[in-house]
Amino acid sequence: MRSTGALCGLAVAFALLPWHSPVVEACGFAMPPQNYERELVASADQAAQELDYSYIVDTLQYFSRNDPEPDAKPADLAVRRRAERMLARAVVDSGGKFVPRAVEDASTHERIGWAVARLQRLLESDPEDPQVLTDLGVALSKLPEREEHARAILEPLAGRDLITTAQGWAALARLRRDGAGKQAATRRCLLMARSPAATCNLPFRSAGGVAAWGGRS
Amino acid sequence: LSERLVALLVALIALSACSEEPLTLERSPALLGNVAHGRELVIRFECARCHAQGAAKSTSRCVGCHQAIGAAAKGGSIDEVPIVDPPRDKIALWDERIVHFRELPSFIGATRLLRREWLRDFLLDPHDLRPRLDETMPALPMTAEEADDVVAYLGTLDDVVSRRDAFFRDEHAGDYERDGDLGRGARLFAEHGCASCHAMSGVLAQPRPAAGVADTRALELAPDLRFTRERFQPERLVPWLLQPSFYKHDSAMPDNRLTEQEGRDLAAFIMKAPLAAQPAPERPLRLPPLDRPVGWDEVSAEVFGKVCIHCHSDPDAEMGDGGPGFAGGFGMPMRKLDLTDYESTFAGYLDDDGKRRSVFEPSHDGTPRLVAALWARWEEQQGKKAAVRGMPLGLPALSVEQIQLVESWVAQGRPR
Repeated sequence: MRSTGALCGLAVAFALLPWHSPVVEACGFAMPPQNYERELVASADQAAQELDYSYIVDTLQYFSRNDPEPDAKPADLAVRRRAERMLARAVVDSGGKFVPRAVEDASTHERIGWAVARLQRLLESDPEDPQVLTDLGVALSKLPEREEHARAILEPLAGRDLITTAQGWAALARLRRDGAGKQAATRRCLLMARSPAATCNLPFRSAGGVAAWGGRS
Repeated sequence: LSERLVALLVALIALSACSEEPLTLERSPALLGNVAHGRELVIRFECARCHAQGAAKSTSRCVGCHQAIGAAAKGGSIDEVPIVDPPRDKIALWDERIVHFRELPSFIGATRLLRREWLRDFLLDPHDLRPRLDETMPALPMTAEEADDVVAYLGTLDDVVSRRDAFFRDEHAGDYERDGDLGRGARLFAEHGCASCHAMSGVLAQPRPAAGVADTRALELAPDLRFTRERFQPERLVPWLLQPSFYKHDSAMPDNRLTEQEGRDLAAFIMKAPLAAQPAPERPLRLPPLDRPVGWDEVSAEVFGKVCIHCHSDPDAEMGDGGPGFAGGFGMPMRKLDLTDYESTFAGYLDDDGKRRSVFEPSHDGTPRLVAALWARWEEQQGKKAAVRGMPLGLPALSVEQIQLVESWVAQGRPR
């Protein structure tokens, strides 16, 4: 009888064992940046608060030179995605003044084109990402021959209330031809901008990239 | 391997300690659902985020981690924290910040003690069972058949019963009906301090913790005894009262050293005391939008960053998966809603068709969807079905002042 009990006990013990791995992901709330790539993005975030495009580009060009590790986890890939978006955005918002070393010899037009290409690559994995689409719309609006393309991206986003930045609304205000439409877009820009005067009144004539943009707030 | 060995030893010790008589194992009554499918569902609905399933200590993903952090902060081993390379210098900070999901009931003994029909109905239409516990079971997207299968699977965790349990059950079956005295039971209820932890709405609205009693675990996990008559298997109530630890080794309910007659009397009180009707909790009045400026920093500090980001977060900066409200969870699909910062909040969420939608889009009555979800939680707390899923999931509704803040920010054009 005892041996039967022990066997059943054995069965019960295994039935009681947890079925998931004891090593689980962090809960996602309090884990601090712990690896090199996260440290880079965190410091670029800080620079974004100060509109230091030079620092952002210097810091994040690492991501344009290095491909992800083959065993990169989803969170690592998400870090890269964010870094690449920040890098392209810094190039665009600085008016092409600050770029990774690989495109330093390019013209301003080509530098913006480089940022456009990086953003388009990000869309391949998530074609509906409103943050990338907004940044792409802004970048395209800075290339005269691509303004219609920019508007074709930004207008549908605006219609679905999915423009994610003040710069996106500022670009749309400039691209719209009707006065009411321009005013509506400018109003949204003024509400969303960290520095409304710089971002919304002189959105794309700012020498040296003074248009404000916020990083992680 | 070592973890398996520990669990094995613990289970064997627990089993051998169950009875002074030779241990006899029997199968419990026939299961009604599909056990294999039930196991799949328990994984899909991620029940283990909150509920431990049977080992001596909690192995659940959220609660178990929080408990391990708490233990490490009090000098326990940091290696028990189920995170790769947990940073030692952060443990105390995390422990200080963790408010919820520290103590939730395990599955242990659930189907041995509770009616399976009640368990199924509770899964389909959960309600607040434990008045001192903030967390409540969320309504999951589960069909009646699926609920049956989940209960059947949970039954396998408690599936082996000992001869002593059968003796207990048969010996005491229904005996509180015949031999229990409601008046004596009421006195015992007071004498044994049951009200220190338990409410019994309709008789006793809130527990009355005795001065100096600091067992918050017992207080939080104690169910409202109003529900015992529909929850409990009647034949198991007296044995449970006599020796809770026999049925549920991790129970916060103490072994009260009652005599069998006292057990019958107490059971009679719990099961037969007249219960006054309970008024439904009222939804508070909606406050008018604030006429002062409300910016992102304030609304994030008071609501989004304080509450929402625990589930609607950013997978990149936080090294997690973004939480169930971002990556999907509890049987719900990926929503990609990230309320971490100003711009990501404007990027909206994925609807049921996988299309991006703004969280500010008007819902059926014109209320922005984000605000509608916050009010829907109040509806759910009233026992009503809301048009959208109430948020925060499984936690108390936000205060009217917090909702007013969000509503004011949205009404003012969501300014930075």
